[in-house]
Amino acid sequence: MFAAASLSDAFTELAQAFEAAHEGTSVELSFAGSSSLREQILAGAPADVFASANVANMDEVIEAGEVGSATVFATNRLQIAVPAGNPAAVDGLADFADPDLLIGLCAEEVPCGVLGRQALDAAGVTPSPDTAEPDVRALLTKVEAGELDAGLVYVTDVLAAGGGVQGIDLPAEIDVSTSYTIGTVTGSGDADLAAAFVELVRSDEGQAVLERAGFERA
Amino acid sequence: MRRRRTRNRAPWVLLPLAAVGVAFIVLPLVALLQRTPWGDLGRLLGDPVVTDALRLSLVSALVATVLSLLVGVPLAWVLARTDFPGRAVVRALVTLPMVLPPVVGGAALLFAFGRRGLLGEPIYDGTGFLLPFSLWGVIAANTFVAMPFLVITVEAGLRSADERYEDAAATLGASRWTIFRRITVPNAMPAVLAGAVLCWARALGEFGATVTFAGNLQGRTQTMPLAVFLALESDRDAAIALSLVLIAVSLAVLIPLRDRWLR
Amino acid sequence: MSTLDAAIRLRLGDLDLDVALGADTGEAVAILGPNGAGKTTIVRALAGLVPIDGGCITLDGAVLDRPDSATFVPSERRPIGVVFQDYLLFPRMSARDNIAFGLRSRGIDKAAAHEQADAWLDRFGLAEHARSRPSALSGGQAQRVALARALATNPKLLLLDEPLAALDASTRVHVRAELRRHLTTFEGARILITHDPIDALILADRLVIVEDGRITQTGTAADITSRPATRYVADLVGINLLHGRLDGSTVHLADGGELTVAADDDVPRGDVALAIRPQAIALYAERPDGSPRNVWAATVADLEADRDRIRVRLSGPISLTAEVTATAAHTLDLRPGQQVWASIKAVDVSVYER
Repeated sequence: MFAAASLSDAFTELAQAFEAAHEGTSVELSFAGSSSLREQILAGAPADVFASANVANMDEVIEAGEVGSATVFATNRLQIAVPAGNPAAVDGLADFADPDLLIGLCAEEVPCGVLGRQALDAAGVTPSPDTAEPDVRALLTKVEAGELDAGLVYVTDVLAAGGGVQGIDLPAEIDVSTSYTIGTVTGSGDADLAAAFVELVRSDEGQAVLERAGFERA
Repeated sequence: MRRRRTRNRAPWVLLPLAAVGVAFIVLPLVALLQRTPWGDLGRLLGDPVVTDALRLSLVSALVATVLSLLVGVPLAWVLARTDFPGRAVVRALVTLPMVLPPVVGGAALLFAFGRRGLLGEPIYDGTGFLLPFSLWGVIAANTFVAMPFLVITVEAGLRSADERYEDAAATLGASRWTIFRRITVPNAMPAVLAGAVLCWARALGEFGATVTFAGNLQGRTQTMPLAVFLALESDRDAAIALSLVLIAVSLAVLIPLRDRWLR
Repeated sequence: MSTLDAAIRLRLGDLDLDVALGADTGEAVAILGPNGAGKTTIVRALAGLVPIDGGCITLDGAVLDRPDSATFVPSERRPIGVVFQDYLLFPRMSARDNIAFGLRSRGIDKAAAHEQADAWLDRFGLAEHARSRPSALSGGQAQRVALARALATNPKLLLLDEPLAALDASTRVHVRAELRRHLTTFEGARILITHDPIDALILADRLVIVEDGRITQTGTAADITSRPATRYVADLVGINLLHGRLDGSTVHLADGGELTVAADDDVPRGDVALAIRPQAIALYAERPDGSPRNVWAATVADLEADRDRIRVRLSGPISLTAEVTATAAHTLDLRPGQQVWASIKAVDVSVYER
C-alpha cells in the first residue's frame, strides 16, 4: 500500500478496519511524497495499491502501465495556517503580499506549491514569500513554531497539527483543490484484496474516515 | 624528523577490497553521467536557478569554513591542551552534529535562534535581526553541521604535535598568545588546512539543517543541494545537471587539496 | 655575581626527584646520570616548564619558584636560555627567524632583531645559512643555531639538555670541540645535562652525578675519578684522561709516547687534553694487520673483573685502562706482566683545548 504522506492518519485507520474485516491479512503501509512513490513504482517496487495526492503522478504510472486505471476518491482544499493565537493577525490571502510578514509557501515543484500559487493568482495577490518549503509538513512545522506568520497548506494538515496552528478558510470563490486518486497496481500479488481495499476507501465507511481527517468527498 | 618514503607493496588481499571500495563510490557517479542530458546541459546550466544556487552554495560554504576556523581552532586547542572537568562531555557534544540527523540539527537551530527561539527571541525583539530565511541562516546551518569536522581534525593534529616546541618558545620569552600564533598554529597547519577542506566539503553538501532552519528561496537561501532535491520532484534532467555542477565544483577543489593535505 | 641556587623536590610519574645544586657565574656544571635519572626534569624545573613541589629556585637572588611562598615565575619571564635535546628549532622559520624569535618576543622590532640575529649567525659561522630552514642544516649547524637562539636573549643562566645526543659519532667530536669554544664566550652560569662522561669532562668545570632522582656525588673530574661513590660513577670514571701537545694530527703526550688523532682544525695546536674510553682500546696477542696508526706494545699491569667485563690496566709507553669482555680476556689469556698489542682508532680519541 503506497500512499501519499497526507493520507497517513486516515489510511492507517482504514488499514486497521481492513485487517479486522479480512482475517489473516495484514496491510503494509508506505507513506511518502507522491512523486517519490511514483518513482519507486516506476522502478518496480512491489506495491499493490497506489494512492496519489494528485492526478499528474497517477497519470504517469498509468501511462507506464503500472496501474490499470484510477479513480478520484477525495479532494483536499488549501487553508491559511497561522500559529496558535494568530500573532500577526493574518486574515486573508492579501497578507501574503506583505513584505513585513514572514510568509511560507510550498515549493513550486511540489503539488501544494502549485495549488498555492493558483489560489494566490485567483485572488490577484503577488506573494512575497520568505521560503518555499520542499514539502507541506516542513512548512507546517515552521508555522507551528511561530517562525512563519502564515503559510498555505492543506486543510488536512491543519487538522492533523492539532492546537499548534489555526486554519483560516480561503474565500469560497477561490476554488482550488487537489484530487486524490487511487488504483491497483497491475503487478499486484493479490489483485482481489487490492481491489477490496480500494472499495473500502470509496465506501461510506472509508469516506467518513477521510472526512474526519479534513478531506472532502469526491 | 623526516622519514624516507619506501615503496609500499600491498598485501594482495587488500587490492580487490580496495577496488570494491572505489567501485562502490564511482559506479553511482558513472550512472549519473550516463543519465546526463548532455544536449540540454548548456540550457540547464544557464538557468538562473542554477547560477543563483551555485553562488549561494559557494558563498555560504566559504563563510561557514571561515567562521569554523575562527571558532573551531581555539575550541580544538582547548580540547587538546587543557584539562577541565567535563571535557569528555564537551568533546562528545562538539561531535554531536556529525551523528545527529541534519534535519534534527536544523530544528534545534530553529528552537535556539528562530524568532521564537531561546536566544533568537530576545535578539529579534531587541534588534529585529533574524537568522532563519536569510543567507546568514544558511551559513549558520552549514557551520553547525560542518564545524565538528574541522574541530576533530585540528584537535587530532594538536595532540600529535610536539609540545616541546611550545616549551622552547616559552623559554625564549614568548607569551601564550605569541606561542599559539607563531608556533602552535603553524605547526598544526597541515591539520588546520585538512580540517578546513573537510569542513568546506561538508558545508557544500549540506541539505537537511539548511532547509529546516533557513528555508528555501531561490536567490536567497536556495543552495545547490536544495535545488537538486526540488528539481528531482519535477525535472529529473535539471536535477542531474545540477548534481553534475556540484560534483565538478567539489572535485575541482578536493583533488588538488586532498592530495596535498589529507594524507 | 650571577648565581643559581636550586633545591628541587618534584614527583612526576615514577620519578621522585630531590636534588640541590648551584652554579656560579662563568661556571659550567655538568649533570651526569643514566637515562631516567631525572636530568631532563631538572632542566624543565629550572626553566619553569614544570613547577616544583617543594624547595626553592633562585637566580641572582631573585626567587623563581618557591611553593612555600606560592612564588612562580613563568618560563617566559625567566632570564634562562635553553638548548633543548634535538634543538627544537622551529621548523617553519629560517635560521635567522629562529634566533630572532626571542628578541621579537621581547618586543624588539623586526629590523633590529634581524640585525642581532645576523650578528649571531656571523659569529657562529652561519652567515650563509641565514635563510635556511632547520631541515636544511647539518646537526652541528642546527646546534649552533639553537645555541645562538638561547644566547640571543642574553640569559643569566644557560641550560643545555643533551646538546650532543642528536649527533652521530663522526660529527660529535668536531661539534663538541666547537661547542666548548662557543660556550667559553658565555659569561653566565651553564648547566649541561648529559649521559656521556666525555661531554661532561670536556664541557664542564664541575660534575653532579644524578641517579634515580638523587645526587650521588659532586665534584671536579679529578675528585670524582679518585673516589667514585657508586657503581655507575665507577663505570664512568674508567675514562682515560691524558694531556699533551697537539702538533698537526699528532699529540705528544706529557708522559711520553704519542697518539695520532682526528683533531679538528678548530682545536688550536698546543696544549690539549685527550679522553679515551676504555672500550675503544683493542687488545691483540699479535701485532694487528692493517695499519691503525695508534698501535703499541704494552704490558698488562693488572686486571680487575667487573661482572662480564675485565678492566685491564696497561703500562708501557702510554699508561691507559682498557676494557674487554671476559671471553676476549680468556682468549688472550691475559695475565699481569704479559705483553699485548694495544690499538686505538684516531677518531676514538677525543681532543679538546685545555
